[in-house]
Amino acid sequence: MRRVAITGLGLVTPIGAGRATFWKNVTAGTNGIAPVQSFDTSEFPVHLGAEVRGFDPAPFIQSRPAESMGRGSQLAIAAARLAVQDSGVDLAAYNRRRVGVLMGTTSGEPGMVERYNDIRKAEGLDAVPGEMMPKYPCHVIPANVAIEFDLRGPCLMIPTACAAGNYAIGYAFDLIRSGRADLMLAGGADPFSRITYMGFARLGAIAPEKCQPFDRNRKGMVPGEGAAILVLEPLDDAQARGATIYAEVLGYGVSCDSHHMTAAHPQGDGAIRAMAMALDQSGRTIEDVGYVSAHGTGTPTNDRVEALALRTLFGDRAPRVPMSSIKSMIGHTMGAASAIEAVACSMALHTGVIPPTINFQEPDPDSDLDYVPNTAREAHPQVVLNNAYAFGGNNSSLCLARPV
Amino acid sequence: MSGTPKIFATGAGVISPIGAGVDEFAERLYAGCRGAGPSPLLGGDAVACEIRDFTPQQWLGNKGIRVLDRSARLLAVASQMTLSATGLVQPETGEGDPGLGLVCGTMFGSVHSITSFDWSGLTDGPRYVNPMEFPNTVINSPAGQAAIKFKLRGVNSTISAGLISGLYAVHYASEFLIFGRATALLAGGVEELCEESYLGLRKTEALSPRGEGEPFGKERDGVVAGEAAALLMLEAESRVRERGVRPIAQIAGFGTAQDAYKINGYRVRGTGAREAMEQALEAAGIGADAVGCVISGASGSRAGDEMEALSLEALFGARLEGIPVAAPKAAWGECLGASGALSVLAGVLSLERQAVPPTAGFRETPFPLRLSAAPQPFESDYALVTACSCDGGSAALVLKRVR
Amino acid sequence: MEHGTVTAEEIRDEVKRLIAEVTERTPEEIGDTASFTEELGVDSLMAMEVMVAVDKKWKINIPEEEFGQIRNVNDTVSVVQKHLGATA
Repeated sequence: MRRVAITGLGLVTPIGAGRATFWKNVTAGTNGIAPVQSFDTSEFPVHLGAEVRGFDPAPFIQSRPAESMGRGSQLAIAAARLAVQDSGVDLAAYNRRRVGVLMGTTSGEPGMVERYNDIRKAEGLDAVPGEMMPKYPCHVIPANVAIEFDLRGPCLMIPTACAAGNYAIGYAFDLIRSGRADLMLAGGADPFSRITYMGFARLGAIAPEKCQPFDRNRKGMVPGEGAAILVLEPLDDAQARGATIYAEVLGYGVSCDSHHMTAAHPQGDGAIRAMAMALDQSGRTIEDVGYVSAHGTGTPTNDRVEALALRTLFGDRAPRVPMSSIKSMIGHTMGAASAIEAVACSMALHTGVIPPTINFQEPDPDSDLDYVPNTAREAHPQVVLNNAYAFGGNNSSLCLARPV
Repeated sequence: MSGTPKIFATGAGVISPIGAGVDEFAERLYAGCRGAGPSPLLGGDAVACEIRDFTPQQWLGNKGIRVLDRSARLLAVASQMTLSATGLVQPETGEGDPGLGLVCGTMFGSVHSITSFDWSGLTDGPRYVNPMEFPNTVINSPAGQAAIKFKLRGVNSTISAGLISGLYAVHYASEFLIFGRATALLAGGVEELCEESYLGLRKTEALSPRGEGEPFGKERDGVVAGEAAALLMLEAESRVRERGVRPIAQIAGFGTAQDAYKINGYRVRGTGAREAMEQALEAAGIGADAVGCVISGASGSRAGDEMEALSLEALFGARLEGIPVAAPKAAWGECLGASGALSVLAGVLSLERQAVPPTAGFRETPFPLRLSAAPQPFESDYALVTACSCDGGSAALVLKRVR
Repeated sequence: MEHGTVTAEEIRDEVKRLIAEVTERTPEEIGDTASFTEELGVDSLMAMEVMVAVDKKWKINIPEEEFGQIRNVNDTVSVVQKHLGATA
């Protein structure tokens, strides 16, 4: 089995695009949450969202007009271009059959469904243009990335909702270590959608004023959008070409609560098993873990269960493992979330700094752990876990390490 | 890949336009039945391979069906059948095996549920949307619902790669078993008929105006939309021995490649399909000469079928005319993300019976392919299953007979 | 919808129908004082589904906090009546 390095980080987020801007802002505790602009929220009881404002896809997309594809694909291609640039890799030097793209998402291209319904309402079903529905299925996002960069190897979408980014990065890691691919672009993308917003609003899950994961008075999550792509390659290749190695992928774990479509298992059963499997597959123990990037959506239940899961698995060590949620700044970017958080984990390993949980004011006596409140911290973790959970009871944990 | 654990299919479940359950499915497939006909679900003059009079209660009982959309119901039925066939139904009490999971391929996924949910928001206002319908809007909802219903606590993954999704899901699940992240996995795909995907197929002129899919046919003019759910139970060799079960086939090799051309159009002279097939043979450790039959993903698509025929010619050369080929989408239509799983099941049946199923209604082909409207016998341990997608993705899977 | 003419029994019948639907029972099986969560297995998502259906049916707006206090059919009827009174 080959060792696998992360050598390129590209992303588009509510607090900026590109590795450097994102990292500067996320460690400064920058808030990316504001009243929603992309649609009218006057009929909703809540109004906050984490949108990527002023995103112009045109400079990133060379193969076709940007408007020929959905926003999910636009965000993904932009993130991919930034990642490829960041890695310094020369795609032309590769056998294209051994270069691929793996993505995760919650909703794919929901904008196509929104347009379908808008046209249906205004002019009737017959007015819906034919080419719209073929642009909806979520596999078109990696297919569009493959076309943009002429990637001829494995091309796959793993739409496991809000855990999907980890699934994609994990499977890309499998492909490289088993020798099936030599370079993979892996990550996640989700565009802001009125459908997602409406669903979470109806569930009463959206925070009215701010996103404050793990705070005693937390009132919910904030839907967001974005994309992140990580460049994965064999560690040997990365060293040979003198690449910056941000992190090494050690392994991952996945599980299913098999409990409820929207509610987490009350004891965190699946979350515990996913973390344990990730460590086991990585040949590491809880003693090695120096940082946990929490799923940390900010809903009362998710955060309580996640803290309980950490406490159950890590025992007495739990309060000494820093665990933060950058969703306090960028909201919940759905299928992109764990990919963006994997970028944050990679940078935490690379720079030694871990990003904070902002808006943290009052500890929750039920879940009092170290959430890195409000200020980034120099902590030099050697091994980190990236947690992501999803509808359907899906759980995933990715284990990354500082390369040695 | 020496030293890699062998992966076996130990049972299957299927609900399709030509029948429900492996036995009925096999009987009708080999009898040359076709699922195309008027579609009550789509209405009007639509012709489709619909699962008519679908009554999930027959398999699932009366409870717990209400909240499931059509895809989730189809997948739950296939899950129930597969778990029963393999003796892996989890006990009513207790938690369920944490190593038992599900990998589901799909293409349009939850498009009908998400469109309906958005529509109710547009027409009734966001206040009055049904919160119970929101979880159905995510693409992995059928897999998640099946996990809850059948206590599947292991990996629960959904795989989307267009028309190769079902094949890819079988391979992905095999890799999870090889990497030791699961002990038994349901793997396959699901796709439902619905007005949204149908409109897309109709308006892009992918559908056969005659309502007759003629895979590889001279007069082919498009596909017939279909729906299905099909699953295999996959287990590693050691576990198969431990449980003392008889496998129905070995998953011997897989390959995939992308032509990176268009998201909705075939690169007819692309090399991706051939290279996917070559990779699959290499992974299985065999040469093209060992292949006894081909279960093709050809659907009646003008460009797609031509691309696949050219790829088979490039791979097998002059030997191609001697290899029995079946294009069973003639029977069940274009089931999109479920197609690959149905094809794998057809491959398993072919090896068991040492005969490929008919290509129902076959008359004439412009390609040097040995197709027939009757079953074609062969003698071999290896079947090649192919799938080519309209987004440039191709995949191939080699199945090995278990004696 | 003429709010003024809705009787308690009509509300009761509708609430029982809704609870029966989400719990996959018959309306006859739904007792007036049976606990939604403990006896009938209504989870938070099901409860919310009933709340939305009730709001939609009578064009009222029961706040989530108030709905959260409801434990059985009798409670629901009272709350609906209160809100119908407020809008009538």
